[in-house]
Amino acid sequence: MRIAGERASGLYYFNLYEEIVFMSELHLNSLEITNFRCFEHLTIEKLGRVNLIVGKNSVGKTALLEALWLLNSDACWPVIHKILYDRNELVRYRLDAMASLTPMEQQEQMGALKSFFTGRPPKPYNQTKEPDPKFLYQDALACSFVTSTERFYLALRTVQNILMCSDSRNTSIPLINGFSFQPHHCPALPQKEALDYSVIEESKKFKTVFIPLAGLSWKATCTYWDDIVLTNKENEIISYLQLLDREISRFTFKGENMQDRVRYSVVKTGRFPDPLPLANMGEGIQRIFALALAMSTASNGYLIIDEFETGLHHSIQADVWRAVFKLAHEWNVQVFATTHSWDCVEAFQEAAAEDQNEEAMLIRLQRKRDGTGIVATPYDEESLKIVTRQGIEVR
Amino acid sequence: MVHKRENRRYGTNLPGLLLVEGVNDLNFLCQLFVKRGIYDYNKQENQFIPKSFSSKEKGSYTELKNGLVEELKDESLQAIGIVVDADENLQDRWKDLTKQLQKLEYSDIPNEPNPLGWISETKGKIPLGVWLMPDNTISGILEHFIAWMVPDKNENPLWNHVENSISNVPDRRFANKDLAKAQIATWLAWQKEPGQPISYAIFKKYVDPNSTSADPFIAWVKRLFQL
Repeated sequence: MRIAGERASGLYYFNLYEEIVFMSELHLNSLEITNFRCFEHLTIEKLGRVNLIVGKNSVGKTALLEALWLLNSDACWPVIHKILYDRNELVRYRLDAMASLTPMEQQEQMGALKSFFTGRPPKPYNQTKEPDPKFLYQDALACSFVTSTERFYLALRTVQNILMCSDSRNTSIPLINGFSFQPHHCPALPQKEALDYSVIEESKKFKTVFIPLAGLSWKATCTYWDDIVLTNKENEIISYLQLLDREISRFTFKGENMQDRVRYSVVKTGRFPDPLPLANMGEGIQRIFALALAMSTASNGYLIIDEFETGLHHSIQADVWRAVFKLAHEWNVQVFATTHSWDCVEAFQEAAAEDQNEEAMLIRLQRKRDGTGIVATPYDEESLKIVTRQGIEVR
Repeated sequence: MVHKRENRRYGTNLPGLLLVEGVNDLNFLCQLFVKRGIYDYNKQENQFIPKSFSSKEKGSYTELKNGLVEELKDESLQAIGIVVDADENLQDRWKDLTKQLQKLEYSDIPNEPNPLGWISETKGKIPLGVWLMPDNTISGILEHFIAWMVPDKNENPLWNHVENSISNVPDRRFANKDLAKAQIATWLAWQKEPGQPISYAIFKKYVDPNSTSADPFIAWVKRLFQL
């Protein structure tokens, strides 16, 4: 890393292409979540550039990723929809492209959205009184995400719209009464295919990519590749793939514009004269390829990964983490990943210790001793060193 | 990849945690817990079955001390105990531990270790107990504690012979602080099955698990983990 100096706005440095990158402008340094899913009130005082989130089942690891995704995508509808469909909180898609919003669809979505708020409170609908659209009343559900630079509120008003508001922190505005919110009009339900494309579009717009448990979708992989092909980033991604297989020298998609053909990825290796389908080379390399593409799309933004270790053998996890640290730094990406695996924690620590920048943070979610909810316990690089050396259970 | 030493631990997901310095201490104390009915034992599998609290070795006093802050981050933990050697100077060891515990916001630490074993009652913190081997009142190590458990120690001709021969050993190479270690090693060397580890000594009754000299320690463990 080349630190070029420090200004009022924080550290900045030049990236590989000699562009100035400000580190703290995009970074979330801290996060406070109120009333979202299982977090009545969760405070994470310090975040790193690369964050690994651990914890037992049902302590809200995925909920934390969702909060980050919503926050960093301005809670746009495609992301809201995607989250609700992935959790089966919404199950019905729209069939007819031309159809407009029906009252039933609206009710379905508002009902599903309740799951965002702690305890899914069955707030009474106050249908008789039409609320002033500019004000949020006590009968609304609201949650908030507060970072060092921003307060972000998401509220569900009783009648028709979700309301959202993002505001700079230096104005102190009460959350409920007398607070002006922007109405976020409920759209018609999306069509299945269209939703996937909207999510990809939003991920590019907000530079915020979410890799779900099942891996990056094929559509996203293709789109992200098309964005970097024949740029310098292409070479970096190839060198990243070489972590797994030194013989890989080139990569491309082969696609047929015919109804009975699919688009598929192929690599050129030193071993064979003909290109090989990437799918032939194992789960690990496909996962790594998707990870690198996601990081390039998330340049100057955020990458969110549910279960980092999926598809990765433990022997290569440290190498993959090394690459993540390197790319996160070079491409200015803040990374949030979850894991259940001790191997993954050890590999994360190993890569963090080698990395010259103090940028790693392990965040453990656990139920509080006194039973009053969930707490985030941070482990910085020094702590992590002791934890992994002494085999202290943190998962 | 650096080879990592695995810290041995018996028991997981239990509300209590007992930390000791080394593997020998761990195996000896767990065997003692079995004989005193605190732990169960699976003969077929040759395994300790901890109840109520896990036991874990940290490799050394320093590791134990430095790892405490990380161990205490576990919100499921209800009580934690530390068993360390007083070593050459009981006061110094107590002061060193006191400093660390104060950093961890334990505030009710007495100036002297409690002869019955100390247990903190700091508000807002989980109970934390400290036992300095051998008995919280003298400098020394685990082997002193073990030596007190030798059956009829004062009239035991074999033990007398151990003591005499060691004091007459020509060209003595170990420091005085390790005298108890040498005695226990010699004691074990002259049993029916020579050269077994100290945990085996309890199992074979080379030392008496029901010795009253171990009662205060057992009582401290029971108080700490509310058994």
